[in-house]
Amino acid sequence: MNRKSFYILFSVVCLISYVWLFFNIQSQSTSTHTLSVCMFKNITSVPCPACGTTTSVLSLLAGDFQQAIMTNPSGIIAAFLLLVIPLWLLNDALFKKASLFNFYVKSENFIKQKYVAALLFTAVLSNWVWTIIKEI
Amino acid sequence: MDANKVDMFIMSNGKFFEGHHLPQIRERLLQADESKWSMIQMAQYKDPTISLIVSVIAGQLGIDRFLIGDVGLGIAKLITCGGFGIWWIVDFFLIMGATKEKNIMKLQQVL
Repeated sequence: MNRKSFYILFSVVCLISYVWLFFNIQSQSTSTHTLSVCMFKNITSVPCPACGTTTSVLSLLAGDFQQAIMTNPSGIIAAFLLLVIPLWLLNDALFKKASLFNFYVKSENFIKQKYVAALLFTAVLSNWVWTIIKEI
Repeated sequence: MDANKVDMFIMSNGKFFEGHHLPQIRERLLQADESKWSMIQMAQYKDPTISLIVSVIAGQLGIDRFLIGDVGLGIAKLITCGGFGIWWIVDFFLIMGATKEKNIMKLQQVL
């Protein structure tokens, strides 16, 4: 993947995430009904590993840290990334650097190591099992 | 390298690369040293059709991106639930090109 498409992709994903979050905060105050965009859940009725991330971020915004972890721990990661990445993108755009892209390439190579990948895979899988048991 | 061998390689592996790259690949292979032949033959290329099937079935979890070696994008797709379902569908159209791109990078490493 080249640098230009990386920056375009990450900007678009960040933007959509913020729009999605805003939409959810709006609908939270007006109704209790929540929209599910997860095709995996809609088709199989089994939650996917990322199901509950929005709920988790919303409870984090309300200050309920414990509830956020109990819903889906990946919400903490998502909230952190949503805080850091836009600022980093802005920094790169202002100073015409490619530090985020370089960091991405470095971390990708780090994750590709056998043991790190196995560890991450186990973490995601156990989180998924937990999600299914909780029936989000 | 022998023109016969190169043509044979292109005939059997043509589907792994973009059509517009094939003339360049042929040129590079003809210039390449004979000793690299076994390495080029041995390299494992990813099948674009397989990655498309994986993308349709398990694209929500980012498995297609993990398959072709884009680990970072795979994780991004996994934690955003297939990019809110949008990226999942967009990738139906992008994944074959991305796979071919990865294949050509692999061939360039060998050459």
